[in-house]
Amino acid sequence: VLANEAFASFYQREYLRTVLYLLQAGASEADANDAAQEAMTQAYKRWDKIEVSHRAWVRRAAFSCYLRQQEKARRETPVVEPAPLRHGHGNPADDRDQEEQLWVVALLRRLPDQQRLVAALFYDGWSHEEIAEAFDKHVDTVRSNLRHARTRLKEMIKSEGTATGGDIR
Amino acid sequence: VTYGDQQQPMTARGPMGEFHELDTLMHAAHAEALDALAERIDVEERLRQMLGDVEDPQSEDREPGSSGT
Repeated sequence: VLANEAFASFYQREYLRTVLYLLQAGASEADANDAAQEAMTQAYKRWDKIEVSHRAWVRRAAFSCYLRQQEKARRETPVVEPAPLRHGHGNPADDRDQEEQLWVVALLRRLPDQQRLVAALFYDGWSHEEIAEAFDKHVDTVRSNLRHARTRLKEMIKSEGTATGGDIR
Repeated sequence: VTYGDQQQPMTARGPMGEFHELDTLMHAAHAEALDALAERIDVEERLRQMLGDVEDPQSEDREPGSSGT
């Protein structure tokens, strides 16, 4: 019962964060939900056997699920475009709302792979050390990836602003 | 759940760091994106669905990609 309660609490805290992480990696919302759910299912089944941080384990598992989805899609369709962010079902107002709410996703997707994944975790509140553990990288490499990512993000926001009109000096 | 309330701006180099403004903006945008997802995705329903599937694998007749929204 305690394990179930611990898992339920973990799920409630981490599910949407995992979905957002996968959206930032380039997944569609449906694929992100499928991969996050699959990773959570795997985590539930081996909850007590996971030796690293559960959230690091789930992010890695979810990303692996997403890559498998991508590989399958690539085999079935030669060219796979990044998933669109808009799910407003053709309603321009819904599209615009969603674009504004998820502009951070669109911005991060424009970064190179490693910078994108490191920045996604950093802005989810992870420390450099936690990110290094999750990616099995040296913490200095994480710092370097993050510095490049933030420099690029700053340039993009400076030159283009944000969907919500935000700006930085 | 209001994710926006759980996010605290954090910078690697403190409030005077060169990325302070960017980090504040990005943390806020991240929280806003989580709030937007929370409006569309029923996490409790997803959890119930997951636990149901694990305990009763025969019930896995839902369409793949159903987001529970």
